[in-house]
Amino acid sequence: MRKSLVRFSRRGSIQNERGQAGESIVTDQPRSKSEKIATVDEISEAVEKVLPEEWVKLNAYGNSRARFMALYGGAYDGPDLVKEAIIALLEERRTWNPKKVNFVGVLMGAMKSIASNYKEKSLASGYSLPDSQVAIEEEDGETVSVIEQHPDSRRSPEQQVLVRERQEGTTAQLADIYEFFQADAEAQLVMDGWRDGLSGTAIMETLEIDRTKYETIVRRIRRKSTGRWPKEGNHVS
Amino acid sequence: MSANKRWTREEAERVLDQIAESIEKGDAVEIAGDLKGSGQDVNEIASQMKAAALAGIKEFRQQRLHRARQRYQESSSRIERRAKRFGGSPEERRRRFFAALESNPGLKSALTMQYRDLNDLTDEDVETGLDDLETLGALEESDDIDS
Repeated sequence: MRKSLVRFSRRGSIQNERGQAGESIVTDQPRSKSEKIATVDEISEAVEKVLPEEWVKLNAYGNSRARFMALYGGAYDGPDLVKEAIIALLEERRTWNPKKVNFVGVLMGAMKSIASNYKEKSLASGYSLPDSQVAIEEEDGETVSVIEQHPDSRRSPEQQVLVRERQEGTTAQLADIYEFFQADAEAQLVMDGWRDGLSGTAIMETLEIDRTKYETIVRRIRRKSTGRWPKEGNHVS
Repeated sequence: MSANKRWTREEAERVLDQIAESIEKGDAVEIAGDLKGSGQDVNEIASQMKAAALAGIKEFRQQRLHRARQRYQESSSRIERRAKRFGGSPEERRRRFFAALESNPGLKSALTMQYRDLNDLTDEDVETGLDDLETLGALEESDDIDS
C-alpha cells in the first residue's frame, strides 16, 4: 500500500485539489457587511454559555493552530488564540450572526484565520511576532505595542534563532508522534498521505478504504497524538 | 515515505492542518475524554480558556475607553489652545465672533445656511468659527474696524 501511496502523491493535480478544498473551508466569513454582527453584550453572553467540554475542544483546536504558527515563529497557545479571536470578533475584523452560526464554530474559524494570516505575514515580512507578545504596559494599565512604535519588521539574529527553534521543535515533535505509530501501519500511511499533501479522498482511494475506516484511523491519530504533545503551560515553543 | 526522513515545515503544516480539522469535526465530549485520559486537567483547561476569552472582552473595552479618553483629551486641548489664542471668556469670544460676522454679511448668510439658527451655536462651534474667520482673514478686518 505504501508504494502506491507514494506514487499517487507524485501527481501534481492532487496538490491543487487539496489547496482548493482548503480555501473553501472557512464558513463563517460574511458574504457582505450587512451579514453581521454581534455586540459586546451578545459575545459576553455567548462566552458564558460555552460548555466546559467545548472550551476543552477549543483549547485542543487552538493548540493545534498554535503549533502551525510555531512553524512560522509564533509563540501562541490555545488561550492566546481564543483571546485574539474574541478581540477580532469585537473589532469586527470577523463577523458573527448569532442567529445563524454556532459560537464555538465561529471562534474556530477566527483562530484558523488568525493562524493563516500569521503565516502570510511571516512569509511576507520575514518577521511577524504578534503585538500582544511585545506589548509594554504603561503606568495607567494601558498596553502599547512596541511594533506600533518601532515598525521595523526585520528579524534580529535572536529572533531568527527563536523562530528556528520553534519550527524545529514542532517538526521534531511531529516526527516523534509519527514514530509513536510505528506499530500502527494504517495510521502511518494516512500520515504519509497528509505529509504528501493528499486529500482524504485520494488517501481513501489509494489505501482502498471507505470513509468510515478513514475517519476511524484519523480519530485514532487525533486521540493518540493529543496526549503525545508536551503539556504546554501553555505557550507553544 | 521514509519514517526516518526529516520533516519539512510544509509536511508538518499539512499534518497539523489535518489534525486541526479532525478536532473541528470531533465531538467535544470525546475530545475532553481523550485529554482527560492522557492525564490533563480538563477543568483547569476549561477555566483557562474562559478566562482568556473574558480577558479579550476586557481588553477590547479598555481599548475603546482609551480611544474615547484620547478623543476627549484632544478635543479639550484644542479648545484650550483656541481659548488662549483668541483670549477672553466664552461670552467675549462669542461677541467677537458675531462682531466679525456683522462686518461680513456674506459670511453671515453662509453660516446661517449652515447652522440655520446662529443662536444655537455651542462654545466649540464659536471657537471653530473663529478659527475659520481667522483663516479667511475676516477676523483681522473686523478687529481693524472695531479699533
